[in-house]
Amino acid sequence: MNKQVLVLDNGANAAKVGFSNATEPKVIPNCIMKAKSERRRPFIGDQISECRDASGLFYILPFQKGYLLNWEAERNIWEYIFSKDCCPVNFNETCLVITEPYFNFASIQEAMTEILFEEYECSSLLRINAGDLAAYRYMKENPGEMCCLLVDVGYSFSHVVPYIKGKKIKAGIRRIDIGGKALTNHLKDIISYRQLHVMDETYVMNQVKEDACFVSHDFNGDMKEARGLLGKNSIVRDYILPDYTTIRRGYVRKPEESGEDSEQVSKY
Amino acid sequence: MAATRESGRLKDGGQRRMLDDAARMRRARKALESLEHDNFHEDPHADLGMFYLLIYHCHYDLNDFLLSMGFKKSFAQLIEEEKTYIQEHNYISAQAPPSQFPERHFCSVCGFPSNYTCIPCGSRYCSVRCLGTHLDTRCLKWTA
Ligand SMILES: [Zn+2]
Ligand SMILES: [Zn+2]
Repeated sequence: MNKQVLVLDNGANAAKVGFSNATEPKVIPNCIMKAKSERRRPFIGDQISECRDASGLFYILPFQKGYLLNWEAERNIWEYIFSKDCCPVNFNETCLVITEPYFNFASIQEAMTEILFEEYECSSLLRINAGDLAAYRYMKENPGEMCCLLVDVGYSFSHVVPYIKGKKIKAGIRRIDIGGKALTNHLKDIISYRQLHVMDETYVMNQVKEDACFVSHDFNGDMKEARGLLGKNSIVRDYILPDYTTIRRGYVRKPEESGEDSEQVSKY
Repeated sequence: MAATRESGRLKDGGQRRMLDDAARMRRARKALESLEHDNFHEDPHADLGMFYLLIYHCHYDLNDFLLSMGFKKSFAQLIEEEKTYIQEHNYISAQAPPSQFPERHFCSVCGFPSNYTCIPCGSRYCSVRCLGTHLDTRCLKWTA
């Protein structure tokens, strides 16, 4: 009777997976990557940490425009996620909670259900929007609240979703087709135009974004500040890019700490 | 990064080519769409096939299965299908309308707020210096 519950937040960029009693989920890139330097194997999910040279990675993503379209890729990634190398699961004794995007298409839902029951022989399954779970938790932790407005910034789109008394108001859901992928690609555009060609370096540029970018609380003020000269500018940073010989991962450095060397990328 | 020219009348080599509003909109939309790309370069190991040497193999042909079930659909097909369902709220209706606030403009060269518009292409610039760079690099040869 005491079945364990596995939660798979199957995001378009990263899959977050773990048993319900775990403190933290594992975060696995939900993609297959091919490295220029490695002909013998593709890298699935977090196997990319085994790759010596992550420059010029070629991506195969199961999600397009926020929806699961490439099942071949996803099946291979799931096989890895559920394997002993990642997060071993005995599906006969496991209830699976898996997330899906808002307004997921009926045929994608059917395919997912079919594969999870038929292929994995999942004993029970809950397909749900990740935001529903977040709103559920919020209502549990704030018993007096009547409603909440949830902002879900995804990889290919972002949703704003109202919940009233824990119930999702579908008529109020709004989507813009901008998410983390567009931001990384935009950063690549900007840097390639102004400094050096990095259009093929999604992996590294995504790290740059995550290390260096922030959400401004005073946009006009920060834009002004970012204009300031070096020394009078609290926003400008250098970014040291990895070279995959001595530096395996890039990092942010304050400009005053710099001793004028190597490649650097400054941004605001 | 291929240089693409949109409108036919751009090709007729007049010195003062100009994009009309529709062409500017098209370019802006195209630039936005390109931000959804997963890769800007070719698969380095395309010769090895899509799933060369994957450790895991489905025990039957997943592709055939999905096809036979009618699950293998492109995004465009899904959207078309969605239109045939009589559901009040769906992917299409959730699309946010344009902002009610006025647009903010940023220099296409340096990224800072800009006050001026390049007359031929409609890009924004903030200073003579940035305009010079823009004319030398991107004006009417839109990249990415
Ligand atoms: Zn400028
Ligand atoms: Zn121009």
